[in-house]
Amino acid sequence: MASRHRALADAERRGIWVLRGLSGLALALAVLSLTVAAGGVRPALAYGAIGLVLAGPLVRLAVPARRWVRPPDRRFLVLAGVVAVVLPVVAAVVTAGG
Amino acid sequence: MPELAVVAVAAGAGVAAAAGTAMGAGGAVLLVPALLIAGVDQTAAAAAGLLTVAAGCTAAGPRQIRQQLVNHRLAVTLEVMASTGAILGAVVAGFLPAVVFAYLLAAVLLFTAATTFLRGGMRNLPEPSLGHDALGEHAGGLGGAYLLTDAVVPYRAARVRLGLALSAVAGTVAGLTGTSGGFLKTPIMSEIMHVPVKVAAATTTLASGLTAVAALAVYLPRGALAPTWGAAAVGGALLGGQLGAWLQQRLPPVVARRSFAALLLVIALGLLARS
Repeated sequence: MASRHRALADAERRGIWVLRGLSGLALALAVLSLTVAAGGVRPALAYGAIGLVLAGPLVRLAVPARRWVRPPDRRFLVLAGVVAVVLPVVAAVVTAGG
Repeated sequence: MPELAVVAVAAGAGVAAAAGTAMGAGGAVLLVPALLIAGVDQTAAAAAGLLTVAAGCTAAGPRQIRQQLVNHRLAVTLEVMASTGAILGAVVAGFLPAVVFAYLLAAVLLFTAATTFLRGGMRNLPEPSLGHDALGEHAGGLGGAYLLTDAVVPYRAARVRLGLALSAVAGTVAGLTGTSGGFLKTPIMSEIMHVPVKVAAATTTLASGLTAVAALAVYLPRGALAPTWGAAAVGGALLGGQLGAWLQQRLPPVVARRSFAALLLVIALGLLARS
């Protein structure tokens, strides 16, 4: 039990540092894009910042995966996770198309 | 683009992300109307709003994970229904006159603001027998425990079926408005399902972030948002999201609930004024 708690804490700690890294790097790229960058570098930095930010919520969804290790929870994680990400894409496609 | 406009977008995104993260309102519902009033076209405003939500979610993540405030299982469960509703909303958007929709939405917001503001006390009380090892979401159910000052407060989602049905309605509204619908998801969790408002707000921040990422995957490749606007929104929202998570940790539940009610009131009045 103690090792399980330790594994969960380690996973959360790693997730926190990944998110901090994403946020810090995205902020740096955004600031560089708006201040010192010029020409074609400017949009490249901006899109880099946007891409890093978009990865954040997906990392947040993955962080507690270690917590859901029991079979019913694992099945739930896979099904609901896929549906929760795929369905909004369908909604956005319908919205953008309409 | 004039530098003043970039600063205004960054500042607007910062304020929207701070308020949205602290109170679980997403943030797009605050930024999008402001950009529309400023003359930004609807698609770019929606993309900037969704980007603000995703950035706020990313920035608030470390603090919310460390505090074990987020119930991921609850977020994903409700998001399935909300996303289904969002598809329905997108389909019926063309059939509902904008003014009728605005009045309906304003009525829902005013009712939610009133019930949220008038409710006194706390539903979920601290349990002295629980230690810090009970914190976080509990596997196998839609419950958990969170830390309120030094006390551990257990909770369990109630009226799950009603919450799921209303999440579908919230998703429909989100599909109609092009927002993440967080301003409805948080009151559904806290007022209908009796989830503590801090947990509800943090859980909504994650759910709204996922919705925003999926929607942006469609908007951005179509060139809906100029990169300079995107960088400004990302920069402002990352700072605002951290501020919002910091505020969320410090606000007492009653103050958080009443602040959220005030925010809903402002949004409703803004909607009525626009329509």
